[in-house]
Amino acid sequence: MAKSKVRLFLAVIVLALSLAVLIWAFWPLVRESRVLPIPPADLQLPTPETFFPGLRMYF
Amino acid sequence: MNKRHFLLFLAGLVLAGVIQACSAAAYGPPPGTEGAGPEEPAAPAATQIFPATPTAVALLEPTALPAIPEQRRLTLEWPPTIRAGDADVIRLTLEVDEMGNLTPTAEIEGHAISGETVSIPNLYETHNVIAEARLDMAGVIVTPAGQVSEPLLPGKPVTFYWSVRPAEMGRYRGTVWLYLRFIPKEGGEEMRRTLSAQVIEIQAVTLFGLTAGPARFAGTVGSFVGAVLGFPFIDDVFRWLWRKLKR
Repeated sequence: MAKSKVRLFLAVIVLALSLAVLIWAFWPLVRESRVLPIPPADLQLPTPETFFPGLRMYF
Repeated sequence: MNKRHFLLFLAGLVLAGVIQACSAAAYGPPPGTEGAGPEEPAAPAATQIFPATPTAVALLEPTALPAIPEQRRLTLEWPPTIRAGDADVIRLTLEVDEMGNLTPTAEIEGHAISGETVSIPNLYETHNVIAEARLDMAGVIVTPAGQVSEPLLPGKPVTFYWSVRPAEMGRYRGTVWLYLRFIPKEGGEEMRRTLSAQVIEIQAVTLFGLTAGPARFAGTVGSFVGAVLGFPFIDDVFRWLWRKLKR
């Protein structure tokens, strides 16, 4: 009787642990996203101002 | 200081004031555009002359640089946490922002023209635009490695995908680069512009030192072993449950 109880206890523990590991291994990952607006001014041809933003104050 | 010098000084002051006023009028913002947002690239570049009579308007050809007449949106999607040994995808999309699409206009209140479209040379007509992207992340297997490119077409989104696989537990930092390459259709020098460089961080985790693959294996084997160990007692469990439900 005691032997069967130990066996049942072991079965429950092993099953619970294994299921926990399986859940961790298959749990879908959280995804993060970042949205950045790109104005048309950033889609222009590069100008000297884009290389040296400080030039803007002189023109 | 005699009277003549004083008069000369006064005349100089008046002249300086007039020059200052003229230069402020010439380089200052045109009236009615103070509230304009930064997304009006044509307004400062377009050359327009407004004579004293408001009904007669003369417009010169604008000397604006070619531009892409679209407002776009850059979306970067990544997993902040990955199981070590597992692979996941990082996605970078440059799409047209439907809400932000704009037509550059010059509007002069109280004058003859209102809401007139300013013609900016379309960059798509003069250049082939290529979007190039790269993911730099040390310690992680990145596929595809190096630079990937895709043509940027009017109104069409471009999407880049990378598969990342951290082999070991740890915190990995990387940079997602996006460039635009302008190739003149009629030949000439290519130009490149960095559109964005975004830093991302990915944490690779393990379960008590177990990476994803071994954890799945251990979980499957353990479940099988647990089921086999518990199988002889299943009828006992059902009987106990049946008794519990009957009460």
